[in-house]
Amino acid sequence: MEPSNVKPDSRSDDPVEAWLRAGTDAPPLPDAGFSQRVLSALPPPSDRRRAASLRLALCLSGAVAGALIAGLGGLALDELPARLGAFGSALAEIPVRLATPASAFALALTAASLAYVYRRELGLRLPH
Amino acid sequence: MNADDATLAARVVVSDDRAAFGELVRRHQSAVRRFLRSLTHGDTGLADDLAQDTFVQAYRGLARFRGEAAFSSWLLGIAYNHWRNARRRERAVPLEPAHLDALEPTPSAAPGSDLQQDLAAALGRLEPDEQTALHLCYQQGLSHGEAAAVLGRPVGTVKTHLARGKEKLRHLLASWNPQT
Repeated sequence: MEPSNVKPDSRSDDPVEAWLRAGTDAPPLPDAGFSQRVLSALPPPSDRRRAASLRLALCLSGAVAGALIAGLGGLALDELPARLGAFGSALAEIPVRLATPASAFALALTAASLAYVYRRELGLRLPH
Repeated sequence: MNADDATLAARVVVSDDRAAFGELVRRHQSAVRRFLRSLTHGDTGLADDLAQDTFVQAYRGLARFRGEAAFSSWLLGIAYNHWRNARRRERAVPLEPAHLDALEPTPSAAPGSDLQQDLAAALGRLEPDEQTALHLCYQQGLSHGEAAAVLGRPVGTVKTHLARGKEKLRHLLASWNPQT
């Protein structure tokens, strides 16, 4: 079976292919201000940075919330009032629970995954 | 600026480097505009509007460019989707060969050549999928796999479009071929 990265054979004797390929010799279209029009149409820089920051904040909030729920041992609806009442004391237990090797490994894995996914955004805040 | 496309794209994503994006636009504007002119049967105004939207959309989604494919193929994929969405939404993009006479033809390699004019007219009589596959593989120089990625179709489908398109061209341009 022919691989998908094959380009049409430039040595082909097929005249139709030769006619079609003749178009590749055409000079590039002159820019004629096109690039400038595109740059003018781009969104303002602040929007892009704000969107990136918001995405990062949402993701980190979700990760923290997930870690808290996991630290509390999971929540069932009928247990929710009692759990909320004990929330303060549970918070104090979090460092102890997280001190286990499995928790530390899970947190490190999560942090590494987030750092990889957002490496470009984090690069904004790191010195080159 | 001699940096490769992936490096320029990373600069745009990391530090919103507008000069780097401008360089990417300058490098690829010709291929994208030519492709869209082919899709719109030479309507240069509409093609340039779609090309501008393509680059703006590429700028917004540049963080999703992971460098697995060539940047030019990634851009052509956005251009194709943008053209298809615009056609679906507005039904304003001319598709039928009947529009050809009223529109400016795409510049050929040898302006004034009768063969190139006949070829352009014959291409206009093909199905849009056949015409697009031929343009990507023979005029943009993409591989079958790259063209399939741009069009969002299986490689086998693209090969079928190519074979059918060439067969129709062979028939339509029989008078230019001494072997027939």
